[in-house]
Amino acid sequence: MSATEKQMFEELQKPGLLSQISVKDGAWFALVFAAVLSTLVFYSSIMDGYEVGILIGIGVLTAFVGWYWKSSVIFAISVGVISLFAIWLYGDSLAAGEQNFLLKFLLASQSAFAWMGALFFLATATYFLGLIANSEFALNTASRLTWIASGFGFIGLMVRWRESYLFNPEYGHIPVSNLYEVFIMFCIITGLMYLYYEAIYKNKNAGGFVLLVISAAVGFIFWYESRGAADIKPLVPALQSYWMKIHVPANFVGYGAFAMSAMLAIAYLLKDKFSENKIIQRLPELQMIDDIMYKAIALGFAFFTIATILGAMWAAEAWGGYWSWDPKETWALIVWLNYAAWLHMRLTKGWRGVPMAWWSIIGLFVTLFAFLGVNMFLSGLHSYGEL
Amino acid sequence: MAEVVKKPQKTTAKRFIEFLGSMELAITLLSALAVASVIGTILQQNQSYNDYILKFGPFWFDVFEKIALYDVYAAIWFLSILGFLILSTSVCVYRNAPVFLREARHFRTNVQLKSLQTFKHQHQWQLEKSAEELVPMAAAFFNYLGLKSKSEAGEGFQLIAAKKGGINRWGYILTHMGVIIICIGALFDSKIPMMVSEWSGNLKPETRNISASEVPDISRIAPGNASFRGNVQVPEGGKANIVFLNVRDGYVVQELPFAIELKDFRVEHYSTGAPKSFESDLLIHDDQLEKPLAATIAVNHPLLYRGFALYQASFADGGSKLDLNLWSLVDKPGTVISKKTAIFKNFSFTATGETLSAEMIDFRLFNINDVLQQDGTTQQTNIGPSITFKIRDASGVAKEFVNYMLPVTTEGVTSYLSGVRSDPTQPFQYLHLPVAEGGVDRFMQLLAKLADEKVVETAAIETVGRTMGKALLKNEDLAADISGSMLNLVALFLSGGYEAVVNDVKARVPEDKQQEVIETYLKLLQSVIGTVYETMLNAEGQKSLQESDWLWFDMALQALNTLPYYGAPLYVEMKSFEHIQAAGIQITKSPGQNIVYFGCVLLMIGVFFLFYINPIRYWLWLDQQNGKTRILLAGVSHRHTRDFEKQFDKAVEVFDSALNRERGE
Repeated sequence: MSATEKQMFEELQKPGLLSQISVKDGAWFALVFAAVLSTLVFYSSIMDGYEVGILIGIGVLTAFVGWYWKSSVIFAISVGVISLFAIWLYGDSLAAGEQNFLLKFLLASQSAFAWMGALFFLATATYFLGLIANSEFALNTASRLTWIASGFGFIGLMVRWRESYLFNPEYGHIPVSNLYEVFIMFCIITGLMYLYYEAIYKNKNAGGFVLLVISAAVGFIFWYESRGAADIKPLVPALQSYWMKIHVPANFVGYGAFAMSAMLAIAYLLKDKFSENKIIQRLPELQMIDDIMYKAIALGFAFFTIATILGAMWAAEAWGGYWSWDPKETWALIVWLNYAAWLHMRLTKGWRGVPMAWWSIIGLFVTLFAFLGVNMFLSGLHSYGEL
Repeated sequence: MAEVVKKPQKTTAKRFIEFLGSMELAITLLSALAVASVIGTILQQNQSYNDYILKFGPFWFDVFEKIALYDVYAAIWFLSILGFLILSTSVCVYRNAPVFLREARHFRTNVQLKSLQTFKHQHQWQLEKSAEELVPMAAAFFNYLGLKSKSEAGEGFQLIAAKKGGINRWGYILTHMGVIIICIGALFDSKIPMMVSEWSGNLKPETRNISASEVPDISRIAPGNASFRGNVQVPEGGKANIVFLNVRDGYVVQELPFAIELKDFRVEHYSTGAPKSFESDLLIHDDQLEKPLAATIAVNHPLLYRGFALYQASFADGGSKLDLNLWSLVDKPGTVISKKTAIFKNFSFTATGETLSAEMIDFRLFNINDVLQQDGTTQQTNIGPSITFKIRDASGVAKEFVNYMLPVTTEGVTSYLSGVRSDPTQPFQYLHLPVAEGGVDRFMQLLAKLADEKVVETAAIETVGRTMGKALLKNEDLAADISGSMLNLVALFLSGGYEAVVNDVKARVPEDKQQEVIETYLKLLQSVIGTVYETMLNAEGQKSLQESDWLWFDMALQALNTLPYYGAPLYVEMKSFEHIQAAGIQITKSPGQNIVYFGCVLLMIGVFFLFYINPIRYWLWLDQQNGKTRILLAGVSHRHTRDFEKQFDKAVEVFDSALNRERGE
């Protein structure tokens, strides 16, 4: 008797690891594997051990993200294919960027960034339109615009990477080396992260708020470009390290997540305050916003911790000590302490709602100072992006 | 009585421990640490005390020094906050870890039916089957959900408790242990041991600017020191077996158990002139080695040797050899003596009866400056080598100069540049000497001619003759008068520029005629000097002067006009140099580093456990009700309640279908 009862659940097929992988996933894994492998076959002669390690790590991460978040697969494939196409259009000459129609108006990094910026602006407006007009169609369109804008940004960065080598082989480097480049990365990461949560929670009404901070960043990028920030410049010796490839992006997952939670906090406070306003009441329910805020901060905190630790390890190699109380380091610690306190209050004291929303808005200002203010007002070892 | 006295004592100690481990204290300390850290980023740390005095004035300088604001991160009060934070975290772990671990292991079979019924996530069934029969099925169900379960029989009921994700509790322990371990590791690498020996009087930082070998023992640390971070500059071909550790406004000398020799230092540049790489070829001399160890260090590529790490930190001049021309500007203008010297060397000379000293401070091979291009944009351009030196008078007052070896084009004009300033906080003021073949020689030659009265007299007479007619000069008295006043005019100009001429006129001529006289004088002055210049070139064999020669002359006049304010009795021309560089090498010994990294690993794993392992618990309560078995399934999750809601609904669905089959049989 009891044997059959046991069997009963065994028949129900355990949700084992293999059963969770569909044919599509298998194809995705095979594609990522092939991409990593062919890169290794063609280019391992010019890569050092760390770079091979980073490449494999990125392969694993890409495969995992694609499996965990199915929508990202189409995005990743599109970005990959279009970037390769643009690089192929360039050939061996930077001049192609001025001569080739597609490059000049669409895919050269400067054009791609311009498209990214314009589409993010448009997406922000469309999200708000969707919220105000209560239009499902507008919200879905806004969501697609955000996908495409992030795609343009990503493609632009990939193409810029190649352009830096075409510009001067000596200058070539991954475009995460200065304030201009990381701002673009910030837009992409924040955009994608928001799209993930939007899909999970099946609610697009708060999109405009998150897109506002991205639009602000785009505004900054355009202003900064007008001051010649987009010029490709060679790397100073301190930045010539494989650490840059992992330290900087990890940091920006943190910054992006913190920015997103602060913008959602604004939505939270509005919804909490204007309980009579019909439009504002269309925002996601308070508990949902609160939940995303927490998840974003937890994710940001995890990545920020990793980024700071990686930064310390890099500092040990480049500056001779894992911690020097350099202003940027110190502000990273302050940001970390701030969110550590936030998480303590939420997890152990059970704080929720309005105070936590205010706190995460304040957190954005602290983060903003660490990210921008330190470069503007304080001098130290991290002087890579002066305004 | 005794008991009454004893009891509160115990609670005080207990309450103190509780206070130490409390969240309130931890959050307060976290905030205090954050605020304190800000101070050190706003106020630049470990600058020279003179800079601070200039910035804050003597009163506030003292106040800030008392509270150690110039080295906040080594201040007692700052370290105390940090110490309390470690203590508070430790107490918190000590108090909570056992509870958490017990909780992680425990299945909570002591739960009551009443409390299960209050759960948000619960579902009830009824079945005509005995509770005992359902127990194996429940166990299989939980197993299917990936939970561990434990069954217990009570009075009239059966309880199966299940759980998953208990490792989440380990997240708490690992993160907090990680932070404590990081702080302990950092303690090993901190300045605390040095501070202790300073308080106990065994160490006294040196503040004088003396050579390392002269530093007394009280300011030296033996090679055995477990942890330090110091710097030393080694010139090419030189050796060092010490590093300097900065302590507030002074330093101590840390001896090394080996010596570093710098064979070669290289800077590579990009085509823009920006540095591309810094590399030092080192030779380590150590008794433990059979032959010296050769190694190259570069930024991001340190050398690890015997637990010491050697970093390429900076570079400077290592005493470049200089071959100079010293052109006299005052005593015997335009005469030159050559001088061989080197950076960091001084030499003295006399001018206008005063003994002055020249101190060679720095040599730079490249000067990357923003240079205005013809199209109006600025571009970073290398404008060639320069020397920085000071000229100090007998009373000790010094002026700082920076002279460029090659002509520099700024704003479309090419000239030799010499910058001067009396105050190191001010920008340089520049003297532009016009360029001709052979460097500054032609200008100096002109200067020499102008200092020669005979030459000026002849030129004056010629000028007057040309402009007013030769007949006038037949009157000898008038001729002498004219040439005399011309000499005065030239002397006045050489001693104070146009301004002196103008002031002289203003002092002697009625106001309504001043403008006219000034114009006449300046015209005369320019034509006299022009005549001197023309005669000089004619003598050199150049019979007619080109437009370019007159352009040069205009610049020369400008230079003569500013020369009186130049501030040095001589002009230093750099003829040639031998570049000797020095590498700034940072040497650290950091035994705490691996401890810190270990703490970091714990912290990272802990953060992952805390946020991404969701602890969940289920209970299945079986008892008799109206002749049937009542089945109550209840579940709870610590966080991610939305996700859990879905999970729970799914679990109910699965169990429901299993029960349906059971009923069907």
